[in-house]
Amino acid sequence: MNVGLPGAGIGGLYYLICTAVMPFKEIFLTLTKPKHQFRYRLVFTQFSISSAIIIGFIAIYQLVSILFESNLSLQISISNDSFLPSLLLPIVISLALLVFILTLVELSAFISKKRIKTVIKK
Amino acid sequence: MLNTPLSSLLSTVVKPQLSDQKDTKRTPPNNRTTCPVTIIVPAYNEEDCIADTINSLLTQSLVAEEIIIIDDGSTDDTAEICRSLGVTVITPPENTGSKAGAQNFALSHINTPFTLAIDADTTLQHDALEKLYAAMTEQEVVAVCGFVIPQRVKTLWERGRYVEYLMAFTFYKEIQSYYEKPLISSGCFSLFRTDYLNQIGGWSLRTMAEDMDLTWTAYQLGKKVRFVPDAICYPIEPHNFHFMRKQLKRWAHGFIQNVKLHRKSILRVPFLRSIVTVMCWDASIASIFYLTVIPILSVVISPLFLLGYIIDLPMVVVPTLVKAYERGETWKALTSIPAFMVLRVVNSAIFLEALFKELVLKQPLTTYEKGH
Repeated sequence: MNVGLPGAGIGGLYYLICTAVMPFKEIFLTLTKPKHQFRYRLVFTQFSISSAIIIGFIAIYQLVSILFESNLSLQISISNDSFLPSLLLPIVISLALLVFILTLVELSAFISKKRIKTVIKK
Repeated sequence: MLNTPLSSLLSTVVKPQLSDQKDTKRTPPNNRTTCPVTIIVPAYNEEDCIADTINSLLTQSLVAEEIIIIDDGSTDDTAEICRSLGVTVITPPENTGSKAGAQNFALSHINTPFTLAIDADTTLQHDALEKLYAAMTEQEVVAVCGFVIPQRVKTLWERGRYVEYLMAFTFYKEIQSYYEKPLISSGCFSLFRTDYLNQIGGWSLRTMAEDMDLTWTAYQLGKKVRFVPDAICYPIEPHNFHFMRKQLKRWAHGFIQNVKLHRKSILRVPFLRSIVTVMCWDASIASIFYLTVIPILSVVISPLFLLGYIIDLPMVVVPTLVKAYERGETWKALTSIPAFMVLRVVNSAIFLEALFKELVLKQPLTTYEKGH
């Protein structure tokens, strides 16, 4: 999602993952680079925003499930047994799609790099 | 006061008060510090807002060495207003036809190591320049941009844009910045190294989004771009559908043109290649989803599918309210969120149209139209 462009689908998921990685990256940088200062404020703010977004999604999911179940008798149950799998399904599908797309990009980048090296060697 | 290695470059200039527009060096009032920055402001018929812009530049906590207004063939009193405020006004022989053209015309008049480019309808927070300048700490940093918030938040379109900015700059841009790849150094307010601008031949005219082109070119050259969230600017955003459509059209075409132009080279830039890819996917798929899948399902199966328009509400609401609360504008932000939902559906239609024209019909947008 960027200003002037629509959509916050797998891009949103990608940014949430980026945020989840931030604390670990900061710990790594703090341990490996003596001069690095842990960016507490930035990491904490972004991590809190991401957490609130995820909680918001769970709340919306429950609401939508209740609405659909009561109005359409669709098999979207939020009972204790099936809540987690049915909640996880769209996340797993989105994650799989994201991984697939990013893998394609990384593969393209790898091939492009190899081609350049071959051209330089020639 | 700045606390950076560059602060040694700063000096307080004591010179007579500017009386002639040809005297380009400006005197810092109240012993404020001068920095080696030239501010360039392209202007075309901006008599309604140019005075506010210049006044906000004149009252910055850090004083720029020179302020240049490029009067790009205005037919109103833009040039006279600028002269009366004591800034330099230059005029190209004829209308350059675009913001980038006007900025390039000014490039040869710049004698300072740094150039601040801002729009004629954009005012700055009093310390915005100081904060951007402080971020120019390394030689590799060639561009620094700030936080953008609409100056006026009244109409549906301005409200939609207000939410869009709060959300994007609070969440997405902060993360891009953390990974050292802000997607764009915003055209309405960015500080550049002048030698970098000269090196790449100024603002390019090959796309409708010259700021994106300039930013991505920087990454390809191994340069860095920074985002400073505390440096705030306030542009006037399109207030009605007519102007919003023009602006969104320009941005959508500009994005697609940049992806086409840089598709091979951005593959060599980690993180940038990922965010551009997921953006392309989201912008296309989400647009199709908003304009076809949701309406069809809501008609064929149940109106409940209209909930699809707000399924990602937390993604919009959380970052928006975090920033709005910090600014004491929670109610304004809350009441503006429905406007954003309208704006993004319109945006989807315009994006798909742009995609179709650029990729299928091969009809690239080449004429720059002002967004307000």
